[in-house]
Amino acid sequence: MTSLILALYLLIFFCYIAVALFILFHIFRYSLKRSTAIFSASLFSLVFIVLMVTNFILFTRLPFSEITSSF
Amino acid sequence: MRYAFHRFHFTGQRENEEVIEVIHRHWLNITLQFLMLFFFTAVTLGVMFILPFFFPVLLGAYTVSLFHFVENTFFLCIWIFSFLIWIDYYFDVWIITNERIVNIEQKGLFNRYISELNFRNIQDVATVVEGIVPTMFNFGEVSVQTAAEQERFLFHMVPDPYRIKDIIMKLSEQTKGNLQ
Repeated sequence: MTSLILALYLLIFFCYIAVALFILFHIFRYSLKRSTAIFSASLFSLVFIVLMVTNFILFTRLPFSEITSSF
Repeated sequence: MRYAFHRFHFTGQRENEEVIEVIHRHWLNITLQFLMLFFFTAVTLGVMFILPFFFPVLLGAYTVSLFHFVENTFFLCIWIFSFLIWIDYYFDVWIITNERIVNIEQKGLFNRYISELNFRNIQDVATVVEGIVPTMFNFGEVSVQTAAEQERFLFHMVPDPYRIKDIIMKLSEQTKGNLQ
Protein backbone atom coordinates (compact mmCIF):
# COMPACT_ATOMS: atom_id res chain seq x y z
CA MET A 1 0.00 0.00 0.00
CA THR A 2 2.83 2.40 0.88
CA SER A 3 4.61 1.66 -2.38
CA LEU A 4 1.35 2.33 -4.28
CA ILE A 5 0.98 5.71 -2.53
CA LEU A 6 4.61 6.49 -3.31
CA ALA A 7 4.17 5.54 -6.97
CA LEU A 8 1.06 7.71 -7.27
CA TYR A 9 2.82 10.62 -5.64
CA LEU A 10 5.82 10.29 -7.95
CA LEU A 11 3.47 10.29 -10.94
CA ILE A 12 1.81 13.50 -9.72
CA PHE A 13 5.24 14.96 -8.89
CA PHE A 14 6.44 14.46 -12.45
CA CYS A 15 3.18 15.88 -13.79
CA TYR A 16 3.87 19.06 -11.80
CA ILE A 17 7.38 19.19 -13.26
CA ALA A 18 6.06 18.63 -16.79
CA VAL A 19 3.50 21.44 -16.49
CA ALA A 20 6.16 23.75 -15.04
CA LEU A 21 8.50 22.99 -17.94
CA PHE A 22 5.69 23.74 -20.41
CA ILE A 23 5.03 27.04 -18.67
CA LEU A 24 8.72 27.97 -18.76
CA PHE A 25 8.94 26.93 -22.43
CA HIS A 26 6.06 29.23 -23.31
CA ILE A 27 7.50 32.10 -21.31
CA PHE A 28 10.89 31.90 -23.04
CA ARG A 29 9.58 31.02 -26.50
CA TYR A 30 6.77 33.53 -26.87
CA SER A 31 7.57 36.48 -24.60
CA LEU A 32 7.81 39.71 -26.50
CA LYS A 33 10.44 41.24 -24.25
CA ARG A 34 13.45 39.48 -22.85
CA SER A 35 13.18 41.36 -19.54
CA THR A 36 9.62 40.10 -19.07
CA ALA A 37 10.68 36.55 -19.90
CA ILE A 38 13.51 36.55 -17.38
CA PHE A 39 11.48 38.18 -14.61
CA SER A 40 8.40 35.97 -14.99
CA ALA A 41 10.42 32.77 -15.42
CA SER A 42 12.51 33.58 -12.34
CA LEU A 43 9.47 34.39 -10.23
CA PHE A 44 7.63 31.27 -11.29
CA SER A 45 10.65 28.98 -10.87
CA LEU A 46 11.60 30.31 -7.45
CA VAL A 47 8.18 29.90 -5.86
CA PHE A 48 7.57 26.63 -7.70
CA ILE A 49 10.83 25.08 -6.47
CA VAL A 50 10.16 26.16 -2.89
CA LEU A 51 6.64 24.70 -3.01
CA MET A 52 7.82 21.47 -4.64
CA VAL A 53 10.62 20.93 -2.15
CA THR A 54 8.33 21.56 0.83
CA ASN A 55 5.69 19.34 -0.74
CA PHE A 56 8.19 16.52 -1.10
CA ILE A 57 9.49 16.98 2.45
CA LEU A 58 5.96 17.00 3.86
CA PHE A 59 5.15 13.88 1.88
CA THR A 60 8.18 12.00 3.26
CA ARG A 61 7.09 12.95 6.77
CA LEU A 62 3.61 11.51 6.37
CA PRO A 63 2.91 8.63 8.78
CA PHE A 64 2.12 6.01 6.15
CA SER A 65 1.73 3.20 8.66
CA GLU A 66 -1.07 5.03 10.51
CA ILE A 67 -2.72 6.15 7.26
CA THR A 68 -2.65 2.69 5.65
CA SER A 69 -3.74 0.95 8.84
CA SER A 70 -7.00 2.92 8.79
CA PHE A 71 -7.91 1.38 5.37
CA MET B 1 16.23 34.41 -30.86
CA ARG B 2 18.01 37.71 -30.95
CA TYR B 3 16.32 40.65 -29.39
CA ALA B 4 17.25 43.50 -27.12
CA PHE B 5 16.52 43.39 -23.45
CA HIS B 6 13.83 46.07 -23.36
CA ARG B 7 12.58 46.21 -26.97
CA PHE B 8 9.62 44.25 -28.24
CA HIS B 9 10.27 41.37 -30.59
CA PHE B 10 8.02 38.61 -31.89
CA THR B 11 8.52 35.43 -33.88
CA GLY B 12 8.26 36.19 -37.60
CA GLN B 13 9.19 39.84 -37.28
CA ARG B 14 10.79 41.06 -40.49
CA GLU B 15 14.16 42.72 -40.79
CA ASN B 16 13.11 46.39 -40.93
CA GLU B 17 9.75 45.95 -39.29
CA GLU B 18 9.17 48.20 -36.30
CA VAL B 19 6.74 47.38 -33.51
CA ILE B 20 4.52 50.40 -32.88
CA GLU B 21 1.99 49.09 -30.41
CA VAL B 22 1.53 45.90 -28.41
CA ILE B 23 -2.02 45.42 -27.17
CA HIS B 24 -3.23 42.98 -24.55
CA ARG B 25 -6.77 42.61 -23.32
CA HIS B 26 -7.84 45.09 -20.65
CA TRP B 27 -6.49 44.39 -17.14
CA LEU B 28 -10.04 43.86 -15.90
CA ASN B 29 -10.19 40.61 -17.87
CA ILE B 30 -7.32 38.96 -16.01
CA THR B 31 -8.37 40.52 -12.69
CA LEU B 32 -11.76 38.83 -12.87
CA GLN B 33 -10.05 35.50 -13.55
CA PHE B 34 -7.65 36.02 -10.68
CA LEU B 35 -10.52 36.90 -8.33
CA MET B 36 -11.52 33.27 -8.38
CA LEU B 37 -7.95 32.27 -7.51
CA PHE B 38 -7.81 34.88 -4.75
CA PHE B 39 -10.97 33.38 -3.34
CA PHE B 40 -9.51 29.87 -3.31
CA THR B 41 -6.28 31.17 -1.77
CA ALA B 42 -8.25 32.94 0.94
CA VAL B 43 -10.25 29.80 1.61
CA THR B 44 -7.04 27.73 1.82
CA LEU B 45 -5.46 30.22 4.21
CA GLY B 46 -8.65 30.36 6.25
CA VAL B 47 -8.78 26.59 6.48
CA MET B 48 -5.13 26.52 7.47
CA PHE B 49 -5.49 28.91 10.39
CA ILE B 50 -9.11 28.70 11.49
CA LEU B 51 -10.11 25.05 11.02
CA PRO B 52 -7.74 23.69 13.73
CA PHE B 53 -9.60 25.82 16.31
CA PHE B 54 -12.86 24.04 15.51
CA PHE B 55 -11.34 20.62 14.86
CA PRO B 56 -8.38 20.12 17.23
CA VAL B 57 -8.05 16.56 15.91
CA LEU B 58 -6.32 18.14 12.88
CA LEU B 59 -3.42 18.99 15.15
CA GLY B 60 -3.20 15.42 16.32
CA ALA B 61 -0.07 13.31 16.24
CA TYR B 62 -0.28 12.15 12.65
CA THR B 63 -3.05 14.27 11.14
CA VAL B 64 -1.10 17.53 11.36
CA SER B 65 1.47 16.40 8.78
CA LEU B 66 -1.29 15.19 6.45
CA PHE B 67 -3.11 18.50 6.96
CA HIS B 68 -0.01 20.53 6.06
CA PHE B 69 0.73 18.31 3.06
CA VAL B 70 -2.75 18.87 1.65
CA GLU B 71 -2.46 22.62 2.25
CA ASN B 72 0.89 22.74 0.49
CA THR B 73 -0.52 20.80 -2.45
CA PHE B 74 -3.35 23.33 -2.74
CA PHE B 75 -0.90 26.23 -2.81
CA LEU B 76 1.16 24.47 -5.47
CA CYS B 77 -1.89 23.93 -7.67
CA ILE B 78 -2.99 27.55 -7.15
CA TRP B 79 0.46 28.79 -8.17
CA ILE B 80 0.55 26.68 -11.33
CA PHE B 81 -3.00 27.62 -12.27
CA SER B 82 -2.33 31.33 -11.77
CA PHE B 83 0.52 31.17 -14.26
CA LEU B 84 -1.62 29.28 -16.75
CA ILE B 85 -4.15 32.10 -16.50
CA TRP B 86 -1.39 34.67 -16.93
CA ILE B 87 0.00 32.85 -19.99
CA ASP B 88 -3.44 32.80 -21.57
CA TYR B 89 -3.77 36.55 -20.95
CA TYR B 90 -0.24 37.71 -21.74
CA PHE B 91 0.27 35.69 -24.90
CA ASP B 92 -3.06 36.78 -26.38
CA VAL B 93 -1.77 39.87 -28.10
CA TRP B 94 -2.31 42.16 -31.03
CA ILE B 95 0.86 43.66 -32.45
CA ILE B 96 0.68 46.74 -34.63
CA THR B 97 3.81 47.29 -36.66
CA ASN B 98 4.63 49.77 -39.41
CA GLU B 99 3.66 47.08 -41.99
CA ARG B 100 0.83 44.98 -40.60
CA ILE B 101 -1.32 43.91 -37.68
CA VAL B 102 -0.49 40.55 -36.15
CA ASN B 103 -3.09 38.75 -34.05
CA ILE B 104 -1.73 36.06 -31.74
CA GLU B 105 -4.20 33.97 -29.78
CA GLN B 106 -2.95 31.55 -27.17
CA LYS B 107 -5.60 28.97 -26.34
CA GLY B 108 -4.32 26.88 -23.45
CA LEU B 109 -0.78 25.57 -23.61
CA PHE B 110 -0.91 23.68 -26.87
CA ASN B 111 -2.98 25.83 -29.21
CA ARG B 112 -1.64 28.99 -30.77
CA TYR B 113 -3.39 30.82 -33.56
CA ILE B 114 -1.63 33.56 -35.52
CA SER B 115 -3.11 35.73 -38.24
CA GLU B 116 -1.91 38.92 -39.84
CA LEU B 117 -3.45 41.74 -41.77
CA ASN B 118 -1.60 44.05 -44.12
CA PHE B 119 -2.58 47.70 -43.94
CA ARG B 120 -3.28 47.91 -47.67
CA ASN B 121 -6.17 45.42 -47.19
CA ILE B 122 -7.96 47.52 -44.58
CA GLN B 123 -11.27 48.94 -45.74
CA ASP B 124 -12.85 50.20 -42.55
CA VAL B 125 -12.21 50.37 -38.80
CA ALA B 126 -15.03 50.50 -36.22
CA THR B 127 -15.01 50.84 -32.45
CA VAL B 128 -17.63 49.56 -30.03
CA VAL B 129 -17.70 50.51 -26.35
CA GLU B 130 -20.93 49.16 -24.94
CA GLY B 131 -22.13 49.14 -21.34
CA ILE B 132 -21.46 50.93 -18.07
CA VAL B 133 -18.33 49.01 -17.06
CA PRO B 134 -16.58 49.27 -20.45
CA THR B 135 -17.40 52.98 -20.57
CA MET B 136 -16.05 53.59 -17.06
CA PHE B 137 -12.89 51.57 -17.64
CA ASN B 138 -12.52 52.63 -21.30
CA PHE B 139 -12.29 49.29 -23.04
CA GLY B 140 -14.16 47.74 -25.95
CA GLU B 141 -13.90 46.17 -29.37
CA VAL B 142 -12.10 47.34 -32.45
CA SER B 143 -13.33 45.76 -35.64
CA VAL B 144 -11.25 45.97 -38.81
CA GLN B 145 -13.04 45.31 -42.10
CA THR B 146 -10.65 43.84 -44.65
CA ALA B 147 -10.43 42.91 -48.29
CA ALA B 148 -8.47 39.80 -47.39
CA GLU B 149 -9.61 36.20 -46.97
CA GLN B 150 -10.48 36.85 -43.34
CA GLU B 151 -13.08 39.58 -43.75
CA ARG B 152 -13.09 40.87 -40.21
CA PHE B 153 -10.26 41.32 -37.76
CA LEU B 154 -11.46 41.71 -34.20
CA PHE B 155 -9.69 43.24 -31.21
CA HIS B 156 -11.69 42.03 -28.26
CA MET B 157 -11.82 43.81 -24.87
CA VAL B 158 -8.90 46.13 -25.62
CA PRO B 159 -8.07 49.24 -23.58
CA ASP B 160 -8.56 52.69 -25.13
CA PRO B 161 -10.11 51.41 -28.38
CA TYR B 162 -10.50 54.91 -29.86
CA ARG B 163 -6.74 55.49 -29.76
CA ILE B 164 -6.12 52.08 -31.35
CA LYS B 165 -8.59 52.89 -34.12
CA ASP B 166 -6.78 56.18 -34.78
CA ILE B 167 -3.40 54.41 -34.95
CA ILE B 168 -4.70 51.81 -37.41
CA MET B 169 -6.40 54.41 -39.60
CA LYS B 170 -3.29 56.58 -39.68
CA LEU B 171 -1.02 53.67 -40.59
CA SER B 172 -3.50 52.43 -43.20
CA GLU B 173 -3.64 55.87 -44.85
CA GLN B 174 0.15 56.15 -44.79
CA THR B 175 0.53 52.72 -46.44
CA LYS B 176 -2.04 53.46 -49.13
CA GLY B 177 -0.45 56.87 -49.72
CA ASN B 178 2.97 55.25 -50.19
CA LEU B 179 1.54 52.76 -52.70
CA GLN B 180 0.03 55.47 -54.92
